[in-house]
Amino acid sequence: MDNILNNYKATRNIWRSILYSLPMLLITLVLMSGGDLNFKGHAELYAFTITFIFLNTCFFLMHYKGKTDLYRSVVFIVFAIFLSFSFITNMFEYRGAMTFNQADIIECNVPFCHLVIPMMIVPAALTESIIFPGSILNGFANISTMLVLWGVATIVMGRGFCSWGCFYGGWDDGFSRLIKKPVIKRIDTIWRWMPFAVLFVVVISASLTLVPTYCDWICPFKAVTEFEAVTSAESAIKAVIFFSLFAMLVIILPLLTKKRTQCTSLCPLGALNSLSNKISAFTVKIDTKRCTMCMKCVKTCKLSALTPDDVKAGRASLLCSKCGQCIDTCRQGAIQFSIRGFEAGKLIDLSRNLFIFISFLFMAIFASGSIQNGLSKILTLIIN
Amino acid sequence: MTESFILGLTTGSACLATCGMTLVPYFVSGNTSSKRVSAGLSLFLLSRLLVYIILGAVAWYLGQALFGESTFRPYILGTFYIIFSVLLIVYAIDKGKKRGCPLSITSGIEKKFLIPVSLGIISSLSFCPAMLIAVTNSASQNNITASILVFVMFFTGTSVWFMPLPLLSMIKNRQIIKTIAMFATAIAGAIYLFRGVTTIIKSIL
Amino acid sequence: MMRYIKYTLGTIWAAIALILILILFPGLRTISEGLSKAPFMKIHPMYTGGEIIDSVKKSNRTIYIHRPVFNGLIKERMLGFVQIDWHGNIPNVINDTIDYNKDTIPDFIINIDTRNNITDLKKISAYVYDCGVSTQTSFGWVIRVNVVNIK
Repeated sequence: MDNILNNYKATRNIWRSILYSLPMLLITLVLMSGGDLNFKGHAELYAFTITFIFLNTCFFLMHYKGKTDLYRSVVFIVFAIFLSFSFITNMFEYRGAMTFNQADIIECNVPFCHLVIPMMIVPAALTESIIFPGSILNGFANISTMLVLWGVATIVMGRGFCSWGCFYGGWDDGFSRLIKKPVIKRIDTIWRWMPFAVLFVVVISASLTLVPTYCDWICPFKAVTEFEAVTSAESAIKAVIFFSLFAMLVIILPLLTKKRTQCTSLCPLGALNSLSNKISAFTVKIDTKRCTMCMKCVKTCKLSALTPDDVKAGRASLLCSKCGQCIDTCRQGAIQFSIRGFEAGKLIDLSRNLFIFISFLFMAIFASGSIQNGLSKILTLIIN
Repeated sequence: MTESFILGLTTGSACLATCGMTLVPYFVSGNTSSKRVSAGLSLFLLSRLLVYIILGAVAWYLGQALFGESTFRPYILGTFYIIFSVLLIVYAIDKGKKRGCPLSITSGIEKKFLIPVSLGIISSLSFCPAMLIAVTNSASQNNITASILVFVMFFTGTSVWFMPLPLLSMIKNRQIIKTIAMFATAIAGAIYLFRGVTTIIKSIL
Repeated sequence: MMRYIKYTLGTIWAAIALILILILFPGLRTISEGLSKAPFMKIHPMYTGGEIIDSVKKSNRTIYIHRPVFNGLIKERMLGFVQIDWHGNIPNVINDTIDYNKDTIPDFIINIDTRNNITDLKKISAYVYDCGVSTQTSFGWVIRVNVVNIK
């Protein structure tokens, strides 16, 4: 396995990996259970156990095998699927449908998601209110909780939120891995700047209309969560747009290009999160002394965050989501997670271990609720 | 009015990306004192505003002449929106074409204060697709005041981009900003295309 | 020297990042509650319908009249809406005369066939535009009537 980072040959010691995984084991046990291991039924117990073992196994393997992206993506994709499954089943239980109607808007019963955040900033500053019909503190997916989660994750991980936290990213990440080689090999890197234009347009339009326009008109993930009930031509057009964009940007194009095309070319939150890469504690650096300029990292980067110029400069661009794909791909071990302020090649082990501990912990706890909830429902059906 | 402001804001970036590279050297050449730059910029913006006010009035009269109270009004409006928005999208994404800025003809002017005035007049009469959409918006208003206001709001939206013009030379990665500006313009075009199509469909239904 | 300052600051920042993540989930409820007290943490009246300014008690239901909402980004808009709620037992037909601006002069008459979801608005005041939303809710019925800003 010479293609795995040379540095990690030294860490591929099973006992060292078990020791390193122990804190994760303990913390996830406490946080997932909330300190209470009394479960309401067998389904809940089994769901908890399976989720706990799954998450900690992935973390252990991430450290032991030295492959960041592979095990990250497994959890990331499972998170996305179970989030949608839990969400949709909850909607059916609560409302009897995947759709929301005028009454839900008037009663401020619409669950909040982090994609609204870019659009609420300017109105929040000028009107001192949130332009979203949700709950501030109560219920499922309330605004305050989501803001805290997103805010802290973004400060800590920068755009790493897009690869370790966002519960939608797993969809196009998953579809991008289904086939071995891309059918469409060359994609103009100019498209990676489109989300900034989308961010600009939705921020202005949302500020002036006081409606989160991205969510209202072009969010592809409405197709796997909830959308406005189709009661008029306008709502029918919106539904067509959501499903078309989901099909094109989340399924078809990732399948053909092996890139996360929705995240690369549309998501305005990704553009906003990119700006936080400037302050986050961790970066991705390239050791130019080891780099042979083979450009495999550029070809495999799912967000087109690496260009030949970035490789020459020795660092990933602002768009990097720290997924670890380039790090796993590099045969020379030239690409590393790095603590800000340190040059490439310094404190490689510590930087990686610290970064994946922080990021995986966030992802594991964030994802555990949805995974447990979804598994519990499935197991309830099987057991009963 | 909000819509015109948004149109100006989203497409003004494209104007700046095209003509900004001609304006920037003017503002940063010679005496770059803030007083001189502010004076030049003020003259530039004032002349643009005056031309837009006149255009607003002209657009209203054109609108009355072309469709007034006609039953074909929504169809004509919708068609214009579709044509101009397609032009706007093509304008934004046509990478191969080297867009010449019409401001280059001011290089022959000798009197110093006339340069920003002529820059303002020419840039406002460039009749780019965004301007044509603004004309269509303006022509569809109910009265002349509203028509002029549409252009004033369009002017305000575009002017946001021209305000930091003197600082442009300090910005690195201008190519990225230009790319983002072009995408924003294309998105604005897509929005107006949608609007044109829905205007026609609503009239049919 | 500069290099060592960078190393120190980077290490401190990484340590802070670790601490933040460790306290995030246990402290999530507390932090969220704290954030919810921030001045901007309230839902815009466009979605809540605005504050209730008057109530009218009928035999088995109460009508709540909200303050008209004209809130824009910076200043008030020319067109807004006034929300009227019916709480309690909703009859098959609602027929009520509403004075939304408390000037003792009725502004509109609303007639709602709640079984078939048919709403008919009779304008009295010139400032009443049309009926935007009329829907059943968990507590009864809500309408939003579009009105013109008097100011």
